[in-house]
Amino acid sequence: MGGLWHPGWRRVAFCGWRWIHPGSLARAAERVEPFLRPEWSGTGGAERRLWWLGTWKRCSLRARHPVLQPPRRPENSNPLTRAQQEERRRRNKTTLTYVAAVAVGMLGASYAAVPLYRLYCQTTGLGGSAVAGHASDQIENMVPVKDRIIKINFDADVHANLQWNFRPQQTEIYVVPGDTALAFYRAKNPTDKPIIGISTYNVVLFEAGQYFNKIQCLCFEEQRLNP
Amino acid sequence: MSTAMNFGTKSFQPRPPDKGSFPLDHLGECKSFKEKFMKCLHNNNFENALCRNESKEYLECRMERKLMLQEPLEKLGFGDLIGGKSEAKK
Repeated sequence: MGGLWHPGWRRVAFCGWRWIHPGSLARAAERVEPFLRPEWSGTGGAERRLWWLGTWKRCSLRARHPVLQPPRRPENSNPLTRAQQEERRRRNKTTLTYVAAVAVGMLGASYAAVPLYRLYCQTTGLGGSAVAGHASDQIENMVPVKDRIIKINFDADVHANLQWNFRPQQTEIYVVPGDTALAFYRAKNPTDKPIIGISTYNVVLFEAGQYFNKIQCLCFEEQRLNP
Repeated sequence: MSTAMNFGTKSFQPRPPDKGSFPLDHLGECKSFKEKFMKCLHNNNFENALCRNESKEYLECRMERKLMLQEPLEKLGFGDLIGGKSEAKK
């Protein structure tokens, strides 16, 4: 084992010395030597110890010498690449401007989309949204269509927390298109404290709801019921 | 209403009423008119078209008692009733 080590040690010592102070050849040898002693753990081998020293990676069997490497040229002094670089920079700037403009355009479109979508829905009537033609001044021009009778059922729901007794006074009513109708609901406060509630309405079927125009009701405002 | 999280189903958007909301009839000032209207509905098997006079009277009561803003009755859809009344008077 000792005999096998000798040539490697010498080569390695030379590599190790190159990166340490040039005057300390003897000291480097002293530093390298203890780790190459045979009684040190034989599992790693010489490579691991030298890696520990920090010089193994840079060492190769053919040690580099500064004279043998080709000299490096500074890049900026080459006139051909400078024009290319400027061209590249200009192109980059225009691209950046375009990208920024697209981003700002997207932001503006997201703001503009809200009224545009509403307009679109109104014209096409998608999703059961309000179609123009629900103006209240058209009521006086309405003519009832007497042969189409529509039956409307009335229902009242109360939220669990609201202690009102809320009932419709009529369960159903027959109307015809072009007619105004009156419907009554009764609300009673059975507790001994005043309760404020608010009501809303909806029409089921949803497609039919857009054909009903509510003129006035007790809803969408807080109503206070005394005991 | 539209609280069920169904994606893609149509939902109902309640539109606020055209003339807003009117206050509750707390003191029961127009109760007699209301009772007349309900009785008419019951008698006529809940046909609204036959009880329009009573509904008109109820709304007039409300307007008098300031429970409702004054509106010309044509705007509320009772134009034919007013015309018929004036003709009958003649």
